[in-house]
Amino acid sequence: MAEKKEEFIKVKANWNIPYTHSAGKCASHFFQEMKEKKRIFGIRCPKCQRVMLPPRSFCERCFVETTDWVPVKDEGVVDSVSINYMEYTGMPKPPYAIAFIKLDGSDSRLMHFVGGVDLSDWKKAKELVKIGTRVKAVWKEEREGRMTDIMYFKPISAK
Amino acid sequence: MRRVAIIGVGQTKFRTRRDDATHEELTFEGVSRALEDAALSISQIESFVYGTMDPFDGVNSPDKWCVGGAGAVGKPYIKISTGGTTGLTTGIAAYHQVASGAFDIAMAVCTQRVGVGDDAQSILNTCVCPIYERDAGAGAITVGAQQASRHMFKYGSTDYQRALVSVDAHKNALNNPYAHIQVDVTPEDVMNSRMIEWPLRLLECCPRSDGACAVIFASEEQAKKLCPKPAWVWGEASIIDSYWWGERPDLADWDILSLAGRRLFKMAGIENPIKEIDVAELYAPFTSQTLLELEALGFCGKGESGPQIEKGVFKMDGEMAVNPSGGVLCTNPIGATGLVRLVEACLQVTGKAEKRQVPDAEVALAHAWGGTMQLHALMIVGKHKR
Amino acid sequence: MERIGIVGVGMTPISSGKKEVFYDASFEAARRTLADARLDQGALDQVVTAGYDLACGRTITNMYTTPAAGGYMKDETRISDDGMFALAQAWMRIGAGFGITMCLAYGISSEAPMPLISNLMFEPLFHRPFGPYSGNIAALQASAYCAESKAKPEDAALVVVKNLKQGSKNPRSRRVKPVTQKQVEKSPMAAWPLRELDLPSYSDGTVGLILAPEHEAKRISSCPIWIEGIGWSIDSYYLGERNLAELKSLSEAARRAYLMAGIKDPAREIQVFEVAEQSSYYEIMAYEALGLISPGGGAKLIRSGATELSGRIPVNPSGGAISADPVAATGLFRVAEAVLQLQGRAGKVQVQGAKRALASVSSGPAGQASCVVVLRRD
Ligand SMILES: [Zn+2]
Repeated sequence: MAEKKEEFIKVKANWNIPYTHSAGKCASHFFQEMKEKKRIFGIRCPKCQRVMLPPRSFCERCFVETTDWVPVKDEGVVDSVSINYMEYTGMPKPPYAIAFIKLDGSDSRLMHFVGGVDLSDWKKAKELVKIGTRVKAVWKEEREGRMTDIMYFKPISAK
Repeated sequence: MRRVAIIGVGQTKFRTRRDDATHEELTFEGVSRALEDAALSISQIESFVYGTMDPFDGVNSPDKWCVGGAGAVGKPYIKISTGGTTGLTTGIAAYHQVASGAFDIAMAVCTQRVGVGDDAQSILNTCVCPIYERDAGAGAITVGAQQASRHMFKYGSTDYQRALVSVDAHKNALNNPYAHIQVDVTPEDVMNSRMIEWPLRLLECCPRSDGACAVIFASEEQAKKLCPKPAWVWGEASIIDSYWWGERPDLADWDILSLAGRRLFKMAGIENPIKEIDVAELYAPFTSQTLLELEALGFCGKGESGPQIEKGVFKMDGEMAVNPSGGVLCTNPIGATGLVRLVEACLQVTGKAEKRQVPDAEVALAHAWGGTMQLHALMIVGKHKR
Repeated sequence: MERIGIVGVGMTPISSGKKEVFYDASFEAARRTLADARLDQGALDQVVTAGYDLACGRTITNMYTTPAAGGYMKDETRISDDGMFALAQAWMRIGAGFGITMCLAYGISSEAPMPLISNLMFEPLFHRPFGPYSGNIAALQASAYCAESKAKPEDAALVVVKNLKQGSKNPRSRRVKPVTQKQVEKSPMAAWPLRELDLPSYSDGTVGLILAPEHEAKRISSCPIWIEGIGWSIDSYYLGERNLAELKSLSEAARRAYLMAGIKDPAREIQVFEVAEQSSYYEIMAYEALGLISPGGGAKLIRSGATELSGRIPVNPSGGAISADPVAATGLFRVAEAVLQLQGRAGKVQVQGAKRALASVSSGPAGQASCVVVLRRD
């Protein structure tokens, strides 16, 4: 083999595979309610009585099927939050804040964006979206039956 | 090493898509069926092994999502992925967890939704080396087609013999309520169906299926307490060949499977496979593979599988029943498929196979292959202890 | 079950990747591991590997790595998670009758956009659209922990300073320079409250271990390192239903490992801890989950200096994941580092006179699944 230093060759590959995911009976109903009526429903476990959000057809703790739909408010409290400033391939454009929000009437927390406030400077932003902030859903006009039918939850105090 | 038994099995109905359930809900369904079969509650399962083949489901590591559906929150949980063998290596992993004495009751769970992706072949293509081989566009069908053409060339097997494999599988599937494809086909139907990848035609190729299944393993002591009619594990083996297809000595002979088979039969104390084994559930998504597998495992001599199939040796009422479930040709939820073979083997030796029961079945073999002809997994179960 | 010992360790250098084929990396790690045990490939009875397919951009990556790790024509299985889970399964397989075993984990972070790969772990219905990935979920966990415990960014910065001080001395590190607390506090904000330096350093690296049942282990090695206790567990997938301020699967895994090893007071009975930290805050939380201090006391422990190399309970003398994070191999690298410590081969990061060590890892968002192993020398 030749002595001279050879370049390391890199081969590009791309996984661009379209997927079609089933939402199932439970989530289909949940998304339908969001789309048609801008309503959010949790589902109650008949055994431990938790109202689960997002709703699933069974309770993993009790290992039984869930039964009753329970309306919850589109308002709640930020339970934990982070704010993104790095940009990554195929991911949302920063800055964006992800929070787990405890909606009134639910026993679990829902993941969503907190928005409608200026997130560009984290020093200011962390005060606007901090844990304990009350937030309310901002709905899209054109809804398709997805989590993103809510654009984000906006701090209630924000103008 | 301890003796281990299988005390419960469960499977969902397999379909092209299960739009009525999410991934974890499908897992819940499969697990619930196995618990019902064993008359156990989820709290009695000490450890879990979850098997699936990323990324058919469109989720990276869906085991993390499905933990609730498996009933494993707060428990030991391990994820296995070994390609097409995944289902069976997941079962083998749960078996080792009990055989070692680490746990008394362990469950193997597999869910796969091949129907989620638009194109399973393009995913299968990604197991092929992107630097040297991927651009050639090889998918799993390529494996079956290469083996078919080579077997025809070397041993003179025929399109008609392969068509009979498809006819028998479809007839068996009609008696299996869980099977995905349930239609009666004639040899003419098979030989006139659309050419997919020469020499394989449409009715010689498996469907893409969604579904889940689960198998519960227990120590001898627990099995005696909990289950009146368990299936006893006699032996298991897994094996891996080279990554590079070009290194296989001859694509007409599955030598690596022969080697794994010899190890398996030694462990299980089998001396004359066709005489001692009553049922074989072989992983053959393409008709050609049944031929190669029968020969590699010594159920007939090299080149004899075709004529033996013509004689009906491997039919339901033949010398050894092959794929009473209808096999992979009629149902293929890829990463769960190997475990479905084990489910069927257990149902047969415990006399629970209903309309497709092989009379007096006492010893059954489950098999799976994966990669590009590269991996195999095997297990033998018996009605009696060995 | 017969005692099972680690009798060989081998690691590739940690790198930023983009040069080597990971087929070759598996081969190199396996060769080093076999050489360390003075065995050849023929001595292996089985190979158990671990790695993530999506990170590698190939399905069924064991097709590629297992033969490269000495597995050709051998019995094998592959865990699709961190290598420490492969160690657990290998341990049980040996308990079920297998002999000399190669356990190998391939961590490849350089061939794919890792945050996106991590984002794809979230199911598409309820979580994925919001851009969660390991880093910003670690940030969520950090903010939840701070709210509950009163830990401060300064405390987390101390973890970074400690681990990079160690990493700068360890040849198996990606971040090779020590930093000051000020430098940490000035590093770019990644996902508030986590700065870039609070998060692990994505790397490439492959690690192998040779395991053997006691009767073989004593023949192969003059200083086998015994697996004294091992435990693993998983928490719920739904972050909204977990208490993010605690590492539940880690404490459950530790409980199981301690029970098996008969350990009652880990801070006194174990001399070295190698903890794959998902973030600087995670390490502080891990002090509590592993029972080194009572809940809420983690920040006090890092401030006290007890977890420094020279401290009472050294944590991550290797530099931890903040120094190098070859994803899927990070946990098994921790085990390898712990073995080197117990054999007195850890060089500039050696903890003097260690008899017993702990290694741990978490995988999945906010430490969803964890594995803990307790190791000791005779
Ligand atoms: Zn419940």
